[in-house]
Amino acid sequence: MKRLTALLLLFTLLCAFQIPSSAAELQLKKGDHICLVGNALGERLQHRNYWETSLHQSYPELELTVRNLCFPGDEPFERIRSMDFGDPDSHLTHSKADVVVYFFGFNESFDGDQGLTEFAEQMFKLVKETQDKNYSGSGHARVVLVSPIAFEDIGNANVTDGTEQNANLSKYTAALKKVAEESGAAFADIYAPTKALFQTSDEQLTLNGAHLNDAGYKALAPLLMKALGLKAKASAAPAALKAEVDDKNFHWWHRYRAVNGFSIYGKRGLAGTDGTYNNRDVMERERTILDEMAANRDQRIWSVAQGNVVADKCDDSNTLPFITVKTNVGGTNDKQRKAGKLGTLDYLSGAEQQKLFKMADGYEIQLVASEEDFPELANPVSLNFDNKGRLWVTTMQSYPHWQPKTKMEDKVLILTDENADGRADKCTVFADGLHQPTGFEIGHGGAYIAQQPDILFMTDTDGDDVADTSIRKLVGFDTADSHHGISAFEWGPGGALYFNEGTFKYSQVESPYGLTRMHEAGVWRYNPRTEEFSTHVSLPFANPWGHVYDKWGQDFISDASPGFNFWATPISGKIDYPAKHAGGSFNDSVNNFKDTSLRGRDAYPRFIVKRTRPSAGNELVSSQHFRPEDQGDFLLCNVIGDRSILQHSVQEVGSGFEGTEKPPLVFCEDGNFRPIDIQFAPDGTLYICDWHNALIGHLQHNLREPNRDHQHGRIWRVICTGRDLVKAPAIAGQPIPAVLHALTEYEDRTRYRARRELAERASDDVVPAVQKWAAGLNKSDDGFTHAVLEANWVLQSHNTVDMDLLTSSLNADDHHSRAAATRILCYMRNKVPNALKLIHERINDDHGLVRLEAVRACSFFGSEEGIETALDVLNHDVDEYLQYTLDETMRHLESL
Amino acid sequence: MSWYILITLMLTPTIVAQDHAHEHHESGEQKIERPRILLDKSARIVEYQLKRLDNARLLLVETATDDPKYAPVFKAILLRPGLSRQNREESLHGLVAINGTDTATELLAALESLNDDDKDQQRVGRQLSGILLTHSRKVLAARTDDLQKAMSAESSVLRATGYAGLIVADRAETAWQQGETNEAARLSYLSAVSLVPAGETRNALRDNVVASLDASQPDAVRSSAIRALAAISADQADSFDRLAHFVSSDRLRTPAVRSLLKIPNPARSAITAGQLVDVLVKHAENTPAAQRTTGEFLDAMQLADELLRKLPAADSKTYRQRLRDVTVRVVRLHTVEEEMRYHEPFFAVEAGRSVQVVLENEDLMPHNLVITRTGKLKEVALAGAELGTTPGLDGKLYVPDSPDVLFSTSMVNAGKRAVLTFTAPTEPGEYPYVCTFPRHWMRMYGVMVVVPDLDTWQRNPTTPGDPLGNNRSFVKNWKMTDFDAKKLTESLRGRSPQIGAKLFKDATCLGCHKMKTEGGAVGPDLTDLMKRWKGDRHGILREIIDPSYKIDPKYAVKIVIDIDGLTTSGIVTAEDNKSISILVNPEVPEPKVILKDNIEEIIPSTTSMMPKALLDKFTTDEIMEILSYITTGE
Repeated sequence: MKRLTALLLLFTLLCAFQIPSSAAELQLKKGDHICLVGNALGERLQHRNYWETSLHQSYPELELTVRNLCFPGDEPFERIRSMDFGDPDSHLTHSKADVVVYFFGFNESFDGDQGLTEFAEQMFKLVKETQDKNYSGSGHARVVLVSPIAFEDIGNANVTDGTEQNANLSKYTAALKKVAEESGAAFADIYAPTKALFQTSDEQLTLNGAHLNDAGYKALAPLLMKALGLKAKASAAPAALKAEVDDKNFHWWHRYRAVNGFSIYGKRGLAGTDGTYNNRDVMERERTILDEMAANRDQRIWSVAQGNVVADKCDDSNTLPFITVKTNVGGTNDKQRKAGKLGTLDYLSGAEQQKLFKMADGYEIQLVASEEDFPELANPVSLNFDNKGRLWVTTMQSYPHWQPKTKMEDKVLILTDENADGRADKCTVFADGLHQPTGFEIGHGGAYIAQQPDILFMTDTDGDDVADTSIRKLVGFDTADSHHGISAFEWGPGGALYFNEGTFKYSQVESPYGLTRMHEAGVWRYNPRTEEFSTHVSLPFANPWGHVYDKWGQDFISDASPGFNFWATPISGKIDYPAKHAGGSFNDSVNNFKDTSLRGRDAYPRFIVKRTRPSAGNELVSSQHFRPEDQGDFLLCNVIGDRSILQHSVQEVGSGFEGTEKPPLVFCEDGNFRPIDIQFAPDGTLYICDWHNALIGHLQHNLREPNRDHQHGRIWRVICTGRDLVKAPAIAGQPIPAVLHALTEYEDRTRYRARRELAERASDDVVPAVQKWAAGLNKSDDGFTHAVLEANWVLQSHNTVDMDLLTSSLNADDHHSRAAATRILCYMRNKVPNALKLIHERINDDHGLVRLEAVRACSFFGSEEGIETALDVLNHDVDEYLQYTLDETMRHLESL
Repeated sequence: MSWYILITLMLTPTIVAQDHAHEHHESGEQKIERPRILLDKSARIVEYQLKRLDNARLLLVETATDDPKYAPVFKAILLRPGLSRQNREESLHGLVAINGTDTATELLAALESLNDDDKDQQRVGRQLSGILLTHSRKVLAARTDDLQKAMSAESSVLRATGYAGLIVADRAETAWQQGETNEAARLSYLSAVSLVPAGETRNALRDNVVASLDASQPDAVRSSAIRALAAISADQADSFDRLAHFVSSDRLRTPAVRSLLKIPNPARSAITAGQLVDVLVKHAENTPAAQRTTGEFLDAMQLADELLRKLPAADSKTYRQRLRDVTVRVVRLHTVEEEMRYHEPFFAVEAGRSVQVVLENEDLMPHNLVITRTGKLKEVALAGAELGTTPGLDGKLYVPDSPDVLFSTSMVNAGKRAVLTFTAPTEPGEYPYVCTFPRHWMRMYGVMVVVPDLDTWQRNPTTPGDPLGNNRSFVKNWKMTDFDAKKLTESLRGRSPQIGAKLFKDATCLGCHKMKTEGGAVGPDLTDLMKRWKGDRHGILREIIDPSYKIDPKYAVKIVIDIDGLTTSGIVTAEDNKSISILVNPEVPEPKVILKDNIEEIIPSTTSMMPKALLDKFTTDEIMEILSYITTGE
């Protein structure tokens, strides 16, 4: 914003001089390097290579080199990156840009008329600055401005129809055209042609109204060629040529968006030395090799485009060699061994390992699956159960980083136990060829799979349990660190998908409603029903690998590296980038507050006193198979300090929660036991994902340390001796009333799967069924209040509010219900008349938890009315959690 | 098209507390939006909202005296650390008007609300206590009941104020009777001593303080009495002897040493000094090496160092050698709050010997210590200021990379200290030291005298020449109460513009203020001063004697921190949409231009750039000459 005033002046000055009166034509020259820069519209082009194929096909003699430098969310002068990624000029220089093609205007257009002048001024400045540069060494860069595409009305009542967006997009397109005319840049209007296209097309061409799908990119290719003033060869993109372009862009992508950036060019590039080579040496070599491989593929593209025959396989024998790293593991001076972090390189069999477990009284452990039975089960990292009750696991055998020239084969597995003996007997590979799938969640007929910088959505359409479609559902997450990647997926009870990201990361995610940025860790919130995307918790965590909701919709987050556990409600009030909530291990280095009361890692309290670290996944005990005295306990994976499943009782204290540690549920003397994720199975047993690796640190060894294990992996389960397994109701494919009935089950995870099932069904069927079911509930039943709340949650997941049902939950005797309903009210505020008035009533609730939810909710309203409402909480008792929530709500509302 | 930058305020006594506020810039002027305070809500809500405001915003909150809803605003200003006395007095009057009370009542109520554990609040408390104790004897006497009640209040500063108020109100006997009743009461009585205005009234308390030193008293009382005794200017020779006694006590050594350091050299008897040196040297020898860097130990060594001057050279030499065997000689130099000077105009070191100079910055703004070659003070200081934000020698701000710089510290923030260990030059002579922060050099300097034999020199020290040729000696630490407003016109009669002009220059006024065509632009142009002040000469005099009483925001120093973290401080002379021009150095008329794009934050200072005590080396007559000169323009 600051630049604006400066620019105004510059603009006025420049206007005094003669300026070209129309946009220049794009003139391509032989050997040009074309660099694409800008937002997701451009970024997605490299994964749907129709346009680039058409370009090479149409101009084979020019032998063009295309490099995609786009990042979702990029704006002319605001492109957030992880540390030392390099500025735009350094990347344009690296790629020797002759032609720079800018894709801007979509994210900016959400500022409407107000932001238009600033956008035009910024673009003018950017174009002028770019034209002054000589990136290629053979002359000034030529600039092309590509307009945003139009917004498509996808005919979904839950998603914006784009009327308002299109009004803005057309203005931003006009502004770009004017900038092009005044600056001498070439201009490509794809707004008008895509608007026309969307109106005439029978097929949906976007994922969400704003971002093109595969068919959309296919349809865009000729339009973009024409808009650029280029003559496209008539025929559709030939598959052979497109395959070459795909292959080139695959290698370029893994070079430019290399995962582990913070351990390459960033600060930890200097770590991992083997005495001679550090991470940066080793990994920058690999990036160079990828550059060389991309260049080899450019040659093939030209050759194929020119009609020549090429060898079956690209010859990469001309690339530099990999650097071979010496191990720093073992020997008397092994620091990790001394620190107790190293396991043993003599891996035990599953049977031998099983003997080394020490279990809490009454519990025993069973091996569900190991790499001995299923070699695919190498480095399992997260687990989940589908609505059929089957175990799903993601594996990262390439961890920490895929090596060029090797097969990319990280996976999602489905492990089934067909004879119900507790031991998996079949392994199906649902998805293969993945890279670092740090987490996943099942739902909406497929699976959301993290693969930084994307979250993929993959489905199996033919029922063989093997995914056959894959789309880049959400893009723009940072790749600074593979072990801080998107993880801890969890459906909120109201149908939003939550997932966590660790520190070092600078992410920008576009949605049909605008851009969301977050830096240095937090929890994201995605509503698949409405396509809304936002931050749930923006706090300077280290690497928050655990997130779990309790029966009443209160959530808890475990931050791995410091071993901190947080109650999430007070830190989930609204806060806008670049602000973050106060607290967390990196509070002082990231937030750097001047106000001393906001400083320090204690600025936000932990709900459990940390004894040992680091942790990973978490879970709450909700299983009739487990002992009654353990119900509600908070379980936490510990992967180094104790190598155990820690157990804590949880009490409500004042407006919040307090956990007290109990003896661990599981401990294993095998140093390679690395419990990273846990979840209760439908039968009430607790499943443990054992990463099973002697080495555990990301930082402590070179990324290419030879002793990093790529083979082992175990799944265990905890059973309670002498207690019956839970008989969970069938959920998948059951009639809606049967699934609704499952919402009265005791086990949190059973209800979780029931809600997930209902979220997949058609709203027209579910909404009336829920209302009917709720009307038939018996008020005198113990579970009545909770069942009504479940009904409200199901409706929320269908973007629907039933005021009678919500009022019932808001006014229930049980404060847990009132608190949860206040959260629903907060998220559904635009569908509830007098929402703020209802929240104001909760500000004066008898219970602190409800008041806290209400204060938190105020942060989502406008400054004046939000402040007026929230402040009244001071007429009641205000404890530490409530005071924090009020302070943070005020800090946000005052900043508006 | 509004845009925001962060500003912060420099506030507290020991640390630079920085509050954030969003500042609204429009056409070159800085405007902060008036905060919206919901004054009709409950007091707790209003207080919470006010607490969230930084000082600049708090002062912008709407106030009026016609509605009790504004009382919390006045109360918040009255109690907010870092605000000026004028702000406090104005809000005090606001409270008086709203509540229909009087200032004493409001001050007593305000003091009652202070938290004993909060240093900032304690500092505010002493200021409020100061305001209360300037009330006349009669006014305070009428409040005897309230003051007596205050003597048992929860707030320690209020308790002390109760005692001090009674003492000022001619009820010293009553105060003492109460003080004698128990230990807590006596402690309050003793802490009241330094609150009582200096002079006869305070000195009259001496017997009671001395009685509290008695061995029959608990350590806490004796310790407090030791501190109180140092605040009494009567019978200091006797105080010295009495305090010396406690240096042998492990429990009371620390306060005793600190109080002894406050007793001027002439009041220190040679015999006691000799005994004390022996005790202190043995103490040094018995202190484990690890503990020889603590503040307490350094205090003790500084006292020993000062007392060695009282001893015959031969004895002094012997002791000094013993000290050298256990510790490097330490010279402590501290800065004086709001006066922009080092407390000592010179110190001596022995040629070629190691010495450790500890600079303790007790001022509210940053200072450094740069020791220069003889005759190079001004050159070094100007070269330092010239650097602006570019780091100089070894990355130190305002320290030029010049052979004229012998030894230098980095900038030392308020309340912090820096240690400079070096071997003194082998060449005896007078080496100036100076703070090279822009504009400080004019006042803030001294001389390190390098002598061949320290002990010989100490026996007969010679004051070194002023390195800037300023040969005035100290007259008085002037206060506004020294000038009778009613007699001001009378005092200004028969003054000479030539003498006034010369003194104006001598007092370094011209360095910062323009008078007619000559002078600097750091402070306001004084040419048409009278017009601006509508003839209020007393007000003008207050500006000189007590510059921080009220600061013209235009001349408040601003510290600009750029996005690379470099700081520039000075007076903002111009500002437009793109940049701000900041005058860093009055000697360099070209202001430094900083692009707003590059500014991270701007910190305005709440104390005046203009040092206090500028006229401490000037007589009443001379002050009146200067006042006449600037108020008549003749």
